[in-house]
Amino acid sequence: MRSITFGWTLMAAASFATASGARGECIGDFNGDLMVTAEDLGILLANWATSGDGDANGDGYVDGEDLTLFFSNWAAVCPGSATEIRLACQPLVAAPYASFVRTFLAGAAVTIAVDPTLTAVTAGQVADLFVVDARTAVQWESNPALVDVRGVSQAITYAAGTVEQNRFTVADGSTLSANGGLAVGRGYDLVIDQDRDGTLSVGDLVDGSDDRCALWITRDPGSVGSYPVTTLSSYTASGATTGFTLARLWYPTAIATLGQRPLVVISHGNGHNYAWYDYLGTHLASWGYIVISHQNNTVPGIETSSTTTLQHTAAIIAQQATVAGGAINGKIDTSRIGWIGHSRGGEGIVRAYDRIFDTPSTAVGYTLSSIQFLCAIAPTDFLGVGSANPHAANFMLLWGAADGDVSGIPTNSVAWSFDLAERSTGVRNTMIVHGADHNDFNSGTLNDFVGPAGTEIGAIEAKDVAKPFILAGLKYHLESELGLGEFFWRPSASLRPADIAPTTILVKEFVVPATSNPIVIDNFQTQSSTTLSSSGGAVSATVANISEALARDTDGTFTWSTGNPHNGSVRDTASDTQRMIAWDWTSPQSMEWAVLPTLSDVSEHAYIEVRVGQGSRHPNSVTLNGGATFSVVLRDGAGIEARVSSNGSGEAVNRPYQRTGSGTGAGWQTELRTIRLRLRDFQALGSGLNLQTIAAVRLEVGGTSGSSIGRFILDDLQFTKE
Amino acid sequence: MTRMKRRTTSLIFTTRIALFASLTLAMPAGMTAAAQQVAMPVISVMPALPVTPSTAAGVKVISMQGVVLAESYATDFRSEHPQVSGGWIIVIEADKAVLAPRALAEPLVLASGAKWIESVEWFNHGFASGHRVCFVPSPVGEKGALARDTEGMRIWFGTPRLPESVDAAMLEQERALADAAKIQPTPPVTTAATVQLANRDALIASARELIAQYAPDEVQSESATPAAPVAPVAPVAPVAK
Repeated sequence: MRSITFGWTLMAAASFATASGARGECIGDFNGDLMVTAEDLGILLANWATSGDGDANGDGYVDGEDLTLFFSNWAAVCPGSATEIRLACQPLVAAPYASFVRTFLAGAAVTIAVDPTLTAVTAGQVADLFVVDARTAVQWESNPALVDVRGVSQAITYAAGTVEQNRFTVADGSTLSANGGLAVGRGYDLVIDQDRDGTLSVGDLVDGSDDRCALWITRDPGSVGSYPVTTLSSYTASGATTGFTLARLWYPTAIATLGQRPLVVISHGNGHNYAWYDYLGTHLASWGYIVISHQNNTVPGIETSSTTTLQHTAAIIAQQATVAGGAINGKIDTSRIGWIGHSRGGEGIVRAYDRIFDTPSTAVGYTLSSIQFLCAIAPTDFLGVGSANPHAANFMLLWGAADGDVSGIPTNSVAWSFDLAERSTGVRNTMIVHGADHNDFNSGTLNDFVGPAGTEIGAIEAKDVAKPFILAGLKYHLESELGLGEFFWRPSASLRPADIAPTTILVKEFVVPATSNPIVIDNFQTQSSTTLSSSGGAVSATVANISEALARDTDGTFTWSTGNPHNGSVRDTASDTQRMIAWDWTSPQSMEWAVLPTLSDVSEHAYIEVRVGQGSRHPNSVTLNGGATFSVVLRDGAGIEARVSSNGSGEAVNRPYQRTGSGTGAGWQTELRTIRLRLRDFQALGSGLNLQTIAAVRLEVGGTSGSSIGRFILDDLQFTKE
Repeated sequence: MTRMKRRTTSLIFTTRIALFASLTLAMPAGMTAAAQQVAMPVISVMPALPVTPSTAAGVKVISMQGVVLAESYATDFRSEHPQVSGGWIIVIEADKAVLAPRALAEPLVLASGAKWIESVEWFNHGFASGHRVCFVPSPVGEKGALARDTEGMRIWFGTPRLPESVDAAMLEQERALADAAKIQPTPPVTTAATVQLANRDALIASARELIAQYAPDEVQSESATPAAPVAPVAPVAPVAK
């Protein structure tokens, strides 16, 4: 939680702060959220009989006097602030009863929720809910007047009970406009005007007082955008390799009325054709992008492919005055470029980026920093870590689990697309599309589907997956439309473009870079002992057959064997260094990581998350024969524990695509997905958990905590921010 | 999922103006003028890659034309990027399973004589047509003639790997593998008189003509046809954040 303080209240707040040793601005507010709640009580108890936080009377010692003083101010809302909390949510049928999210597809119902155990509200109290156009923090401070975009605010009445009884459907939420012009969506902030004065003021509850929006109401990114599109079927790029000079161009017909727009370059795969990406070029241009798809010199290899990507990027910038009669002249924003590559072209764009990284002069008319987004569709990995390395570029990977070409087959690491993703140190997201094959993502006529009968989704469906997610990647990275980032990790049951069938299985991974300041508990890189985390804390476990090793299937077959504990991991060539942990269970068991005191304050973070997949063809996975679930337990310094199930928001760990071959049995490569659990959920329903003193993280399986049997491969256990 | 798989192609075929009039190549047996029109999209199943080298690939040379270039170029089909100043532009017919385009390594196309072996360039895949247009490099002698002897020449599919990674040592390994696989000399074909071309651009143009003739589904045209606009929605101003 976060509070914003208005200038005119600063003096009042200062004069109210009395207690020495109290972290907040008023008595009992030990966590500084300007409210006196169970969270503060947890802090007091955690520091009982010490000189730490919880010393309400300022005598240097936490004791009964502090407790009495604390309760005298119980549920107080400290002066001088409105309180930032998360309000927008999707309701859940079971605890924690609300999944707090920001992004809603236009037309969907919008709900808000207030947890009385975390936020001081009184049963029977009436307040006004305002949905307002999004404002930045500066705009809120200069203009706190509340203007509801619906024309009138909505009265809500708090009920006795828990968050379950205090969920409110936003009236007309399904009619909120999502039209943001060039943006796919449109932002709103939410305010509960507690004193009903029509102004964001002391004691009000606000979601979105910072520079993020409370709500991102988005048009369907799979739908056609706002702009009619003009297509130039082909033009000739000067300076491109002989035989590979042709390219196709798409741009908004009304480009003259727009400012400079980002450039998107599509590099096809081997034996493919630059004219096979009309579906993507048209789609992206309808959302305001200038898009080219070029002939790609893929037959000799990846180096030549990267050369044509570099040549065509430079050429369209250099020739903009003449191509298409000069229609795009002056309209290319050379500081914002996205490269999309398919197959060998997917590795080619990574190689091209790597070449600029090594030799900046390789880029002509733009720079390395211009390339703000790499999207590889089923890329090969011929060159390995030394030459096919996306470094810190923002990286997206799409891969069809029925790919009959770049298949992930364990005997050939060239077919391991995920190597490239693991090398990325930027923001990266990957998506496995069950039932899609290699050539479903272009308009060619080759069918390379390999998978169980009845699971083929077809080329139309695969393109319906590619279009919205690639658009979301471009908008997120090139135009800071952060609300679309939730498409990268929320399960389909929670957020799904309409053209994608509910039955299509998408396995999503989202990994934030070190620059976003996650608190990493264990990434399994720097500490090979299974009893010590990479962050230095002790690790204890009751789970079985623990193995911390490179994410590499070492025996050339997907058949399970005990000598190959990371069976199904095809993410590390011989030169890569990505390590992960694997273990299994057949009864209620767990693994627990101690959190060092220096890392224990996670109150400014939003999620605990982990990348996790099922061990392919392991006997336990075979027995489970479905999605696997687990629970995460957080324990604070006072010993208070709170447990959240991965299953609360439909967050099961996918069963690997049941493809056969490469040994006996069914199940292809291990499919890692990111499961994010909101820290607020651990505080729901009055758990009293103190997020400032987290002492341990525990993953529990079996019994009431999750699936009764299974095997996991895990990585990147960490606390992350929004 | 009940929607049917549907694939389309936007490949546009236009007959190119002949730039290489001196070529007198025979039409492959059974190919008619009508067959040169745009092939209808046909969904083809990706065949498994046969083991190579093998005599099973059934490589047959359909046509062969000597070429001498006035301006040499550095080939991308060898890691050493040697200069190429001439060679033979050929059309081969082979097992479509070998010709199928793949992202993973494809079989090298190799050619050898008694004293030489080369990594052959190719300009199309030939999966649908069964025909691949290739170029076998050859040094050019002092008198402007191609220096290599084609008598007993073998053309075959070698180990799958990226041509840009191939060096001289690998080529010798490929020769040994071909010998072990009992790759035989390719049946001789009438070689058209050697022609002079200006440079690689002209060589590519020639190859395109042959692709149009023997593998029309792989022509990539330069025509410009504006597409119909998609339905517009009135744009509004972007939001503040």
